[in-house]
Amino acid sequence: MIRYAAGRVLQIVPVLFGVSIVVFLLIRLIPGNPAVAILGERATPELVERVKNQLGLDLPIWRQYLHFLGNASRLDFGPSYFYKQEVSTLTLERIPITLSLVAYAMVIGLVIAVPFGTWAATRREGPADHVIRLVFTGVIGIPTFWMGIILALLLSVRWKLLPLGGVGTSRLDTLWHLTLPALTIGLHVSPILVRALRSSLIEVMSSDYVTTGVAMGLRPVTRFFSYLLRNGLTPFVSTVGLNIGWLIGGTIIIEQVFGVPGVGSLLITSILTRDYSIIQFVALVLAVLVILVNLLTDLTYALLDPRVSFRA
Amino acid sequence: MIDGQSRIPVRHSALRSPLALAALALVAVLTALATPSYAADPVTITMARNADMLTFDPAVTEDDPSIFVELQVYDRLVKLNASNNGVEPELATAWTVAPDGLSATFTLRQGIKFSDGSPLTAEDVAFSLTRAIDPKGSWGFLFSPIKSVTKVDDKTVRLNMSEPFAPLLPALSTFAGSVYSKANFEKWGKDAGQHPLGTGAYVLESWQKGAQVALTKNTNYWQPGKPKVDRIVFRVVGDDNSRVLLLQSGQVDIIDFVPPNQVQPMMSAGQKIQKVEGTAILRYTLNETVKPLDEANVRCAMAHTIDRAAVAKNIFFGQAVVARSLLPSSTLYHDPNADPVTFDIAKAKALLAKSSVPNGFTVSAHLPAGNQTYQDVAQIWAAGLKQIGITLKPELLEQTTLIQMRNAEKYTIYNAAWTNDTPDPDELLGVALDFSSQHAAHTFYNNPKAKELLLQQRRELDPKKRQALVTELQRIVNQDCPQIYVVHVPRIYATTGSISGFSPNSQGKYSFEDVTKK
Repeated sequence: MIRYAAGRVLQIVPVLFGVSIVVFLLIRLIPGNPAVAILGERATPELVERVKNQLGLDLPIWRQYLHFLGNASRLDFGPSYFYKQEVSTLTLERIPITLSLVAYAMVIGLVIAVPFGTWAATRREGPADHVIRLVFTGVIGIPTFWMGIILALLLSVRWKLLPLGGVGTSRLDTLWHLTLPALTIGLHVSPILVRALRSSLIEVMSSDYVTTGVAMGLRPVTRFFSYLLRNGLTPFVSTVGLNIGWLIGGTIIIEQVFGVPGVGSLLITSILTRDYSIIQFVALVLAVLVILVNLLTDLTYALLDPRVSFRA
Repeated sequence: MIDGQSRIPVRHSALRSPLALAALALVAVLTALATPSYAADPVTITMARNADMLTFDPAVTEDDPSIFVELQVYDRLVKLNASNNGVEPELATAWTVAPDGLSATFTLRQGIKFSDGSPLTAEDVAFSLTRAIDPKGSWGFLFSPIKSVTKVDDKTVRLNMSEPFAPLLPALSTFAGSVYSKANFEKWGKDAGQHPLGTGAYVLESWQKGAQVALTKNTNYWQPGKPKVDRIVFRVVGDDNSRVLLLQSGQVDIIDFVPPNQVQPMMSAGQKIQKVEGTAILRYTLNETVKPLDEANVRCAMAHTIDRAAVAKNIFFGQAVVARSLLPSSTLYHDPNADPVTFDIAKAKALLAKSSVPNGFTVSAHLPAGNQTYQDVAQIWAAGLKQIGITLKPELLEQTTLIQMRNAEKYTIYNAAWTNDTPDPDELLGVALDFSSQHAAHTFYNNPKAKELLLQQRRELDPKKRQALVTELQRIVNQDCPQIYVVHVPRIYATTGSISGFSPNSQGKYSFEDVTKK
């Protein structure tokens, strides 16, 4: 298993190489000279030339890339033009916030999905199943930013139950501040989880070993936790894993809406200001995170299902 | 009977229960949190702003969020008075301008200390201002006639100028004239922009980039009894609606950039609105190399077709004011009665009849894509232009491409808002009317008489005579229409009912010395 994990971690290198080329070229496709974006209305031709020279943007594009690659191999990602601070420091200090938000949102998503998914599966085609499916299909149609604003209006402004984003004065307080954004993302991701859990549970329920277990007089609790849930979770875990990867990208808008100082809001600001070095570094960091989450998903898969073995 | 439990063993492992998985994830969340802690203070005011600040170094500052925090941390030689029509002493107690207008001497207030307790010296003032006037710095142009700043003795500094310079005091009152510690600046070198040391009412406590900047009261502040609030926190909240919701739920005390359509509902809900009217003008620049925009009759005919009142009422929800000069209304020597351009279709038709295109023509306007306000204003203008036979074709371009096009002078009509950094008219008039500097804001407007008046008003130290010169310049703009002004775009702040004394000045800048919280 360790060999397998090490092999998978090594795969990060070519993926990062690919991501770096795509991101490098993609941000240069955005119309508009970054020097002008940085200077805005004050962009006089002399100032534009000076900034282009400072950023190395007057070099041919292949030399710019080699320059970036050379520095990156020494883990030097340069300073941010806007924040005038090392890009790596700026980004890495925000990662805990984004990861906390993603994990918190996933916990909320699971807390919603597991009971409702199970309930729908055990009452298949009954009124409860229909209502649950209808409501969650409705939820999936609501855009996250709108849901965020409505939740904020109700839970924060009207009933004053939760703080509206930002960060707190301590770790626990920060968690408290992340509740509303996490709830928004968690609610948004829950319909996919409910449907995935429901269908995998239904499949397990109709399998022979469950019928045998019931015939042998299995206690309902054992039947549910050890037979249904454990086996039903295996395909469900891959859905969760895939969605965590998607959530890491999905927090970007929510961080902006709630003023959460994570990697996502940094990325949005940097795209608007064409802060190339931040965009490149954040894209690489997000790629690493997605790869690691996928790896963790595969490892969890094996823990849940002993038949899965690792081959590097 | 077969015992199900003994025949089918179940292994119990923490990872096999979904509840345990959830609990593990929760623990992961708690341990992953690594945010610094802030000590709570008795009276804190929290302000949510749309963007974070970037630096504390005035010489390289280009963004408003930085400017507004620098104003709390540093003091200047002089400050704008409450009625925005002159300056009053701050770090300088008195000043004299030499009879020939080529030098100005400032006497410094004695006994002033930086927030770390070290004394403010004439050397610090000379150092800060020498950096400010550097033509290579972002704001050197504001001080261009000043050639050097010298220390005369421990309590006097002298500014030497190449010609008499009427806008001197307003320029020194801007953030760009801030005074900071020379020793501290040299100690931090290139990181000086992160470690400010000034004599202002507040001191930097912490700065979590992109999240919040916290300031605490300067215990060495020279004005007794001020500031009244112990701590100010500037939170970054980029989303307009979220800022409004934060204020409504009482989680912050002050917000900036209130959307105009929210002003009425917020006032009815008991929040206080602070509107700064005369700081920015929504305007169009016309490229005179494109025919027939080279004819003043055509330009002025077009200028008379904008229903400015409709723009103010329908697009800015009554929060904007109709402009009657190219200068924002809070600018010194602003004159709304120098034959202003108004909405007058009959006059527009008469002017167009005198031009080479009496029956109208088609012209394109280059507008920023994604800026609905600018697009809506252009629609109102297009409706007016249609009445005199001119068809306006809006072309939407991404903002940065648009600025590049304007700089390359390949645009036809360009739309922007224009903000004043100082209350003096010299900055904006210089940009608008000086052909030798960027072809008069890329319009190619070239009027030698205007240029001559521009230089005269800059040198004129007598306020009455200067008023006459600046009024004449505004009249020329109204006759030649090199740019078309529309409305004063307001800068809108809102506070909760418990905040008093928050009053941004005419440039939208705010300080917290006199702010209190119930």
